[in-house]
Amino acid sequence: MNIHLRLDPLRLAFLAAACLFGATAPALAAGPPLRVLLFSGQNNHDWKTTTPKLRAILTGSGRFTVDVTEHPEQTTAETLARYDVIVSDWNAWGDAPVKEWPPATRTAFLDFIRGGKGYVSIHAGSSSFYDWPEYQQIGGLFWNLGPTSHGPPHEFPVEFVGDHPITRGLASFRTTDELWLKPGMHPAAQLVATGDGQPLAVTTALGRGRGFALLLGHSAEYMNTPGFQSLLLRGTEWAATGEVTLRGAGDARGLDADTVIRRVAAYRFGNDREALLALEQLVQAAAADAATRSALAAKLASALAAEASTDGKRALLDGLSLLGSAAEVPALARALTDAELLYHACQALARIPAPEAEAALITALRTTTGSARATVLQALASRRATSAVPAIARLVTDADPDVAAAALDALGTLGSPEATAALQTAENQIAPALRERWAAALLRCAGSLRAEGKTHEAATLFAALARPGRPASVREAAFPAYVGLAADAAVPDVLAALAGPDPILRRAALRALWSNRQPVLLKAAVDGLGVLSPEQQEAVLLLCGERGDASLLPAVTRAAASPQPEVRRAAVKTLGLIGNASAVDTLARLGDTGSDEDQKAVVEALARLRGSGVDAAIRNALEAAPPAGQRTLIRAVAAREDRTAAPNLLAVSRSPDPAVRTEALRTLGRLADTSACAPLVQRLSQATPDDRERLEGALVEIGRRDPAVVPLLAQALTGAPPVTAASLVGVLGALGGSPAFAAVRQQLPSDQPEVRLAAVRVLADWPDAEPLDDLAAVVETAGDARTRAIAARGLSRLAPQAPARAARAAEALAGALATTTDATERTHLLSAVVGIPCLASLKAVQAELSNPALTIATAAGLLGIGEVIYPWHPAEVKAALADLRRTGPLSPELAKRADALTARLSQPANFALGGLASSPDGIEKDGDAHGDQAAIDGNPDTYWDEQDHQPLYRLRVQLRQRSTLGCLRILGFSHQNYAPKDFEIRCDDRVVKTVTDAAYTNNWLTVAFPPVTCSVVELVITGAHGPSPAIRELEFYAEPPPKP
Amino acid sequence: MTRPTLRPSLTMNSLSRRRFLRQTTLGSATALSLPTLLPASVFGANAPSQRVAVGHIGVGGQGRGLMDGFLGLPQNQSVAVCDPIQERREAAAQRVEQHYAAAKGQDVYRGCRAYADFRELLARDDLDAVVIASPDHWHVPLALAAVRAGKDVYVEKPLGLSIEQGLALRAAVHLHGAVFQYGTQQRSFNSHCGFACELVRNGYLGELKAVHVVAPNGSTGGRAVPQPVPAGLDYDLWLGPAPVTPYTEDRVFGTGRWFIYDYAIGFIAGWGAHPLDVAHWGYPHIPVEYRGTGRIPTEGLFDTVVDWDVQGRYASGVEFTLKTGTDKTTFVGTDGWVAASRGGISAAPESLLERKLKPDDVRLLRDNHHYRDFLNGVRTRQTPVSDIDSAAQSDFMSHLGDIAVRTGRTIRWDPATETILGDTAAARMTRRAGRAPWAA
Ligand SMILES: NC(=O)c1ccc[n+]([C@@H]2O[C@H](COP(=O)([O-])OP(=O)(O)OC[C@H]3O[C@@H](n4cnc5c(N)ncnc54)[C@H](O)[C@@H]3O)[C@@H](O)[C@H]2O)c1
Repeated sequence: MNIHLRLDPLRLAFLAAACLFGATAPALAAGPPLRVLLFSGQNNHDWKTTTPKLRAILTGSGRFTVDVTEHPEQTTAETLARYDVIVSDWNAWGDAPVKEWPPATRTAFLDFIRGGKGYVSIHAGSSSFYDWPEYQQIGGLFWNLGPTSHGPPHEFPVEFVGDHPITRGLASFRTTDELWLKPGMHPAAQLVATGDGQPLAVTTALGRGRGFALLLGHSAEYMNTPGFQSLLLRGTEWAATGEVTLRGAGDARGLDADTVIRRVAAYRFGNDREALLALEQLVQAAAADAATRSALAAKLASALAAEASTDGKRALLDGLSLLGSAAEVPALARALTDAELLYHACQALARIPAPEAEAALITALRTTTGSARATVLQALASRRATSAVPAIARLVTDADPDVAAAALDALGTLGSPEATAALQTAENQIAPALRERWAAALLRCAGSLRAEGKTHEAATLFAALARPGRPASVREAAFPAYVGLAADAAVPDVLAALAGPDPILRRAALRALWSNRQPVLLKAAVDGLGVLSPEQQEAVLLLCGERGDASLLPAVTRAAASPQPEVRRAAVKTLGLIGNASAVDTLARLGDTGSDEDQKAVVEALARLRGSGVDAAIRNALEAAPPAGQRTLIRAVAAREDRTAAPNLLAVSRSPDPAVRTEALRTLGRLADTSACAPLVQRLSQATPDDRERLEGALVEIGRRDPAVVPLLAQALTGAPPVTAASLVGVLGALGGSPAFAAVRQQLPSDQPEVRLAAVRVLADWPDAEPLDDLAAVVETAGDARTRAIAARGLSRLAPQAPARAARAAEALAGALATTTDATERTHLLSAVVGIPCLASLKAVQAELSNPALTIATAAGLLGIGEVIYPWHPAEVKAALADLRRTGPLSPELAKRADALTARLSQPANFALGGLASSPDGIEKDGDAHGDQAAIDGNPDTYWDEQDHQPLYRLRVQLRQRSTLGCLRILGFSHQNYAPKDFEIRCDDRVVKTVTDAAYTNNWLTVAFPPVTCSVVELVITGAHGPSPAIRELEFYAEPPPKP
Repeated sequence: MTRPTLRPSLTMNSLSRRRFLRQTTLGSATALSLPTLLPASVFGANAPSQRVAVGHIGVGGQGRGLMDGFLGLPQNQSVAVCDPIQERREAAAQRVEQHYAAAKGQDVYRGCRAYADFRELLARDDLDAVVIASPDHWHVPLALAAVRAGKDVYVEKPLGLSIEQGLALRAAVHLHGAVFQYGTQQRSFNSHCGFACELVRNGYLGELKAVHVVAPNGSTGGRAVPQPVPAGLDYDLWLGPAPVTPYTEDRVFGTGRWFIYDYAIGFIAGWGAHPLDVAHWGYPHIPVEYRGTGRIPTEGLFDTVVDWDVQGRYASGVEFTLKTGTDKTTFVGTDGWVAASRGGISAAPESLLERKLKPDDVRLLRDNHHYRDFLNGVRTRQTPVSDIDSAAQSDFMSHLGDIAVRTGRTIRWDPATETILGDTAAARMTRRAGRAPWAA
């Protein structure tokens, strides 16, 4: 509950506005409105915003008139006699100034109710007078000091209880508001609605009177929903009359026209627009049928004439704009005189086709001034009111520039011969500031003439508008239009303009080229390309491309040699679009020179060339071209995906130019098939290291596309020279897969050291743990240190992927360590072995402790292993720790870790650590949670959680190592909230314990079960405290640990 | 026909004021002391005189983003900004000047003016083009004024507040031969939307059966409580052609500008513009029939359609749908489907995505930079990739869908006459009033 009052100046401003708006009551055709007295002026809530809102909702419905009193304590029997129902937004909570009502008020209040009237309280509106039993009885719901509480406003479901006229037919809904938990409820009150299970709305009775209490409405912002408004309106109506006729908000369909119109007439900005929507729906429903259309239009027109709010009238006008006809024009014409309605009235008159509407607007031209007049002009233009030309023409010289401009625009829009003539006649009277506007209007007239086929008149007018002295914007548009109509005859004009001194015409001529499709025009421009500015040349060339006219090819080809980069590039682009095989040579030559950007343009152009023979021409050009050109051509081959070019590419891949070789081999990789493999393999032995890399890259690319390559390369390994074999092993490694693995493995015993090394290298990088045993064997047997080091690195990389075989890897490394003396190699081996935490690695590292050259890394490695494996090997870890301490004083950091480990060893071990958590229930993670692993990461700040309200959740932990367990412990999310409640514990998929209604203590739950040895533990959760079971920590023990 | 002649006065010897200004004021501070007719090569390829002089109209969220994008292009020279919100226009002008000062290694650079009233900006004859990123209700009035003042226009989506507005702007763009680029940047800023359309256009999906368009839903809400107009905002100018209603913060600074019917028709156009643009790019036609449902909220401030679900068909029989969800355009053909969104592309069979176009195939993709494509169009007069014809058609699809929802009837559209057939009330909805002196 909100105990302080906020006074926000904006809200006060609104209050003032709302009071003004509230001055007129809606005119009710059927049944008088119900009269509401709204109690306000004191409340521990923000009554200054809630009261206007309540009032707006009530009056907006059209069913109520509302008066507000800010001094309910001054109410008398006489005042109350004028009302049907009291709505209370008032209370005497806390240290409010008014704590009591005088006895006379109390009596008047009770008599009012008992006599058969109504009382409604909103939110805390009845939280007063706790020692006044009748008040409590009629109030029904109140804040009960002590038991009642609330959290922050949030969303919750509202459900209805039983069958009551107020809620009948309403659908339950969700809303956001402050929700009172355990509110005080009078024993005689009848519950009609709950919020998340808490009492939310009740009806009450006192004498012959009725009460309705609604706890929603903590502040004005929560009163905007249909749910709140339906309950307020229907509850108030019921309290006043004992009946409900109002429909729920959000359900306007089916209301009769009169009711809708009445409500629209009462509508004010800020109210719910339900009535407006209802009107829109009525209008649309009526639109389909002529008879209903005119009947409704007539009703709207008469409502417009009657008393209604401005906002309501605007809505009525909008309705008329869709339905209206000549009959409604007089009503609309009257609306034109109201500045606040002008916009909507103009819209209606512009939309109604009847000539009467046009006449009304023309009349309005005389009666309006300024911007209203301009708005009318716009409406005339919008309805293409050609009959208005004389009236409009008079206004082009109006003293008000907005009016004159709107008149010019309107004539331009109308574009009729009369409008054109009127504009021409007015030429010399136009204000200088409006000359551009005038010319633009005339330009549009010329456009209309053209559209009507009056070619000659249009051309003459366009030509006149293109002359110097006219505004540049109009000349630039008029010239191309003129050219379009004058056709071929305008060619000399265009050429003169293009190269001429008048910059406006130069630009206009360019527009003329783009907007007119006569081939002769473009041809002429292309022929005269040399005299044009680079920018113009660029434009003309691009236009050639767009037109796709191959006859322009020679000129475009010439332009491709231009020294101007933009021109060159435009020519190249165009060549690509209109060229054919014959353009290959030109382009290839261009590819020789020029910047990277030029070359890119050339490649793109080559890629786009159409027609037969292009690919062949490119292939032919390829071998003879100089290196730069070759590179360009190769890229073009790649872009065109010309697979037949493989032999040509193979040929140029021997080019003395390394860049060409690179390009050719890369493209071979992308295009060639297995047939290219043999020649590529053959070249491996002689190639420079760089080239070998390129060859290998190509082979890998081909192999990625075609599985036939691996067997081919495997075969090629036999008898291959060592360099080749080593290369092939690398390629096979990059390709991967079992056949490649088998082939590489076979090379392990090779008597060529470089081949062996290559094989070990490949296996050490293998993506899965398959080569683990092979690498272990290499570590144990290989004669040279480098090979062993690589294999050792591979082992430590692969071991975590195969926990079951990790010990084998660690043993091999341990063995090697024992026999190796070389310091560097020992370092490699040690760092590999500490990466595989298991008993064997512990032992191996422990043995190192006696080495006088002991390093901090080794000591840290030992601790690292111990930290992981101590749950399963406590004794061994303890012994190793003791050995470690014997080596002398540890660095502070290591000492801290050693102490922590010692401490952990003295406590029961959590076997969940180091495991792998997953959640195979297919439920999406909760947005804020940290994933499955968070449940067993030893960090209580992170947690596992999934989406709410699912029937079944699963959390599965693959233990690091088979373990014997007898107990499980859960750290829940928050107290008992969001914690697993009903679940099964399964070990290796066997149920070992079923937990129901789990009770957590200080957030912890400990569950013991008969000891079982297993590798996987799973929780199958069917119930949670709260919407979902979140787990911060899940721990497994051999026996129950002491309380945390 | 006898040919009217232009001859007598074809030559004009004095340099126009516009070109003159461009060559003198757009250069560095020293430009004034240089002779006025330097060949371009003196400045190099991107001499200021070759740059397109741009004015930015509307520098709110999107307008500022566009401005930053334009500033990064060597073809661009931003010389003016305009916004009825003082703080925004001043900050934008400052940003432009800081940008050019930094680019020139100078402490200060003067050369970007801030205007409240776009008419003053458009009156400058040293300006080639404007970028319009106002709220939707201003798009067409501003663009029309710009085109009629001889400027080329980059116009944010959605195009217009009514079908009538789209028609008017299209006519003006054509009449003036203006270069127009629509703010549907997915035609340039990714290649997969264009690729999806190329697949459709070149028949790789077989015969087209359906076009499904999904756009993010609109919002409801907004506080309908009158508030004082904040200092620095010319609210009357902001409203412009729209009817006068009490100021509330949510209209101007909240999301109201997108969701109030006086200024927009909601995300059915505001977001719909993007996937509908893709739809029209891939299948350059407009459905001839629309029917649909949706909800017009009645609480709060916003009153444009949400939850729309529109179905229709093209004259060819191809099915069309427009719904709410994560943005996506799906083309379904007899041989597969392809779906493109801002975020990516998917298809079945997947091999469609590997498809290489043949040299003879129709290509749609152009520059990979939407703003540069526009600036190059301004220079060369080539039509940019998001042209007015397509912009109008995709915008009409939004309007016709909205009208179908609001009328509750099946709307039939005649692409030849561009009118709604057989429904006078619906036909009337294609036109809206405008408050003078701002209407289109
Ligand atoms: N292409 C896209 O991806 C994309 C993304 C967001 C927005 N948009 C579009 O951009 C437009 C602007 O949206 P926004 O979110 O930036 O809105 P915004 O309100 O943040 O910006 C619009 C600006 O225009 C100004 N403005 C209003 N009237 C003006 C006038 N007469 N002259 C000059 N400026 C005027 C406003 O004061 C405001 O600063 C909208 O049409 C929107 O649909 C496009």
